[in-house]
Amino acid sequence: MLSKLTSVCASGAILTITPKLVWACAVCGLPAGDHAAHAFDTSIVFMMAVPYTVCAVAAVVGWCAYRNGRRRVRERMQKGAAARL
Amino acid sequence: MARAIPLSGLRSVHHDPAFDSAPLISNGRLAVLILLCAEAMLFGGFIGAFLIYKLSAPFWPPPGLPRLPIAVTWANTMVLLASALTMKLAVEAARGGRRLHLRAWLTLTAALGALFVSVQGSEWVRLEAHGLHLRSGNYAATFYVLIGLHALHVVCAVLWLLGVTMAVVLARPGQDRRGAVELCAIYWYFVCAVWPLLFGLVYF
Repeated sequence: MLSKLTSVCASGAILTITPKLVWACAVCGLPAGDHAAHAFDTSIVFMMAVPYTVCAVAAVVGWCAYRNGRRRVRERMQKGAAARL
Repeated sequence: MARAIPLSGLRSVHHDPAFDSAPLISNGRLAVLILLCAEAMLFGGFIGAFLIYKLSAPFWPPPGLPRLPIAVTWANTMVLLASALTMKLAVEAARGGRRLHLRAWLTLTAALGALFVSVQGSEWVRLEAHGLHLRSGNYAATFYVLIGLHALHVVCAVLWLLGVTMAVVLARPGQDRRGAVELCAIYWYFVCAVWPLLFGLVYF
């Protein structure tokens, strides 16, 4: 009950202060006709997203390979134990 | 009853040969994955620069310059995606030990990749003839650099694939070339996956 109340209060606080945080952003609220600034803004956001995307994909691939590798090791151990019996 | 851990090293917790292991991710796969991370950052940088030029221009494509051949490039995109499918079939043939199928699918994949590069090259020649030169401005420069970078990667992938195909053809009956095929396939999938993104950004 207390953790639910804490979550609700934290969510409310975040929603309350978020507009103020957005106003502080250097690239939000650009004038509509400023193509160059919007272009740089989009490019910066894209360039920030690329490393995170690459790391996320690499992490997923690595996790799947690790899981498959563990499964192969387990199967080898079971075969070895069965052969000894 | 478990035996003591041998002091000679931590090769095996239970001194069981079945537990002694190759790495969970093979060195070859790890190397290719690291290569692909670097390639993704390379493309990301160039795409970021392209986005700045494209989005900051009042008109894109700029007036007075030849238009890019979208219809032919659509067909070429299908060719490249088909090559990803044939590569997948080659990997399955390698895992199943079907050597004849493997050779056929690898050869077809290389042929499709070469066809893609040839069509792109012929379209470049036509664009040059119509007046879209590297020095025509940002539009032409970013087009040639981005698409040329991808074409270079496809050429390298085709050469790698030809080497793997030769290795498969020359392999003796007991030799397993599955690892080489799978590593080449990973790089091939990456090259095929990058192209739709470039096509959508540059041609539209």
